[in-house]
Amino acid sequence: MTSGQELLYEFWLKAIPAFFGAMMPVSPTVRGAPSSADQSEVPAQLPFPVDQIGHSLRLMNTTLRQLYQAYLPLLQQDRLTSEALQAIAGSSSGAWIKALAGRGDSQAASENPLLTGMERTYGALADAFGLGPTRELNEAWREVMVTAVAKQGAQAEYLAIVLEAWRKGTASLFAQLSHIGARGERVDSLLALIRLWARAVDAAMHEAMQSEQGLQATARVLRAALRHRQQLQKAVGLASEALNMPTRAEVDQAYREIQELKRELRRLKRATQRPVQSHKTGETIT
Amino acid sequence: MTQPAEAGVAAPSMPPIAITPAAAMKELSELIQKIVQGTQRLAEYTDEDLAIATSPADEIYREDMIRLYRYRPVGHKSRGIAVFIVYALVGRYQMIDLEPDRSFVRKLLAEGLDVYMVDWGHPTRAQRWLTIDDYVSGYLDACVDIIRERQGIDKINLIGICQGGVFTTCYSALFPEKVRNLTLMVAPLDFHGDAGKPEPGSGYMNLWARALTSEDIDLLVDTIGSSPGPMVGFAFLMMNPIGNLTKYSIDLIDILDDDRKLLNFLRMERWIADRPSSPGEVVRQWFKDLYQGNKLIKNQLELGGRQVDLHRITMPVLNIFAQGDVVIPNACSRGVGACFGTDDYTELGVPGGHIGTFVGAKAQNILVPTIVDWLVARARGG
Repeated sequence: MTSGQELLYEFWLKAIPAFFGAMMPVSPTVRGAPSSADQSEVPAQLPFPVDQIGHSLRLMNTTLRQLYQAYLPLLQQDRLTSEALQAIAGSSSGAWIKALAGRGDSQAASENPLLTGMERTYGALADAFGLGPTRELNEAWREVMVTAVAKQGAQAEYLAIVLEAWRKGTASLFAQLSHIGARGERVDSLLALIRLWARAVDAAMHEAMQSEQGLQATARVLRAALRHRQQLQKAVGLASEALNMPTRAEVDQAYREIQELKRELRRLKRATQRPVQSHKTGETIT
Repeated sequence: MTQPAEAGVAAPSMPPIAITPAAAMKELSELIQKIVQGTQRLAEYTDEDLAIATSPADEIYREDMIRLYRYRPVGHKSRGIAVFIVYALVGRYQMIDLEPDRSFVRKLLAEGLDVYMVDWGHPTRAQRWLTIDDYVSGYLDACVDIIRERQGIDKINLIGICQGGVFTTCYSALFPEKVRNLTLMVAPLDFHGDAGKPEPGSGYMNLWARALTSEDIDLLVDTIGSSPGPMVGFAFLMMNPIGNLTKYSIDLIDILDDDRKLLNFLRMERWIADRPSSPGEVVRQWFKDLYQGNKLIKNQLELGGRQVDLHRITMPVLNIFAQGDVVIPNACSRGVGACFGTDDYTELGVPGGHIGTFVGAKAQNILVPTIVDWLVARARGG
């Protein structure tokens, strides 16, 4: 199990309470913040992926309790109406929009007028004293911040599409409920209602993500994230050079040369050793 | 959901929700009970319980991070036919041998075939400069030569799966003198086959790749180098984000009291989480020449300076696609017979999805008998 794989699970495990929390008719403080685990605790050091799936179950244990408890007052007062469901969906949208805020703060930080002014005023002087690399590094970090803001902007744009899909999915849920009612059928389980909601959002999400707007937003997120990473690498490269350490580009170049030599070696081997001799190692996999 | 249709239960303008507080609490109590019992069940599983790819095999060749294995025969049946399975780079070969009762490999062995398989391993940063040609004309050709020598044959039977199907197609076009029969499974051949006719929830990789510019691909490879396995895995999971959320939550609860299903799920998770990195130059060419340029089907793809001409594929071709494949849309796999040089082209659709082809009972019942019959009819000492 690598740290990358752990991160992969972490993403979904974090998303679970947020997703079901958005269907919860309670204050936003409860949403997406289930408390710690309870009696369904799984001991540590279990074979992969038992630990991760156990974690998922613990989250569900907490999330479902909160979800049902949140719906209970509405059910007790017979108030689970269209308006109430609309309100749940609406307030969850509000919480998501809140999460998208904060873009302005980062932007302000990256465009710090003091840093820019200092650079313009004293930059040439610093160069004269042999501090060029430091200035270059500062400039690179500024670029890192600019690309970070651009990345955040692209992510916000992407999330806005997700949010709109959520809204459409919820609207589709109401349409489905209306059809169910018209057929004289009833939803008599909260879990069934949640499943209907998830299915409706799923369909809307696919529609949004496969749309031209969704595809372009996805491309912009990737592009922005890569540019940000590129700038980070540039800054790290400058720092490495200043410290007389091999840069990423230098290591890559070395690997490239090794790969070219391997190709050449293979060509020579093929030319001199046909047919190829078997290299039996005798190792066994089971 | 119930259908009592009692008068006055739910007015059409109101949500038809008839959940009583008592029923909701009972349902919650049952769910919690299931979760607690399921968690206890989980805690009892050992590493052995969750082991995948357990069919015994012997390593017969290695080069860099790749390994060539020959599976040990099962039983006494032998048809004297060897097959060489080439899986994709983006996933591990374990999918073809996931569990003893859901193993494509074991079924082939049980039919008396001699089965070889290449494990592409986990490329590291050092392998970022590997190209598709390094895989096809380098590693694959070396493995084919080893098998030919061991089996004492001139030509071998290739089975290419998904991305491995593209590799074996390229190989068969570049080295037709070494290939007896070519079997393709869930392989993308016409990368633009789905263009203009997207199906809901299907073909995301094609759509994403075509939405990027050529410069984006260069930026991706130049910045990331090799695409890390978890990143590739994340891209696959993002094809169905809500489905994955429910998979790890409310759908998971449904299987907690079924030992077999839960083990299937956990073993599949093991496979899903074990994604190798993809070498940068392979990614660059895969995206630019195939996803974007669709050069394979147009006979414009070049590997190592040589044109991959599908007309040179004159050996028999069996092309198997999954009817419910959302990773490789059917339109990208099927209907490509006229592009090959062979006059012995067979196409077969099997029920299930991209992965279900190898682990689904319905597909398995059709798949292996069809492949074996097809190969036997075209064996001629292969």
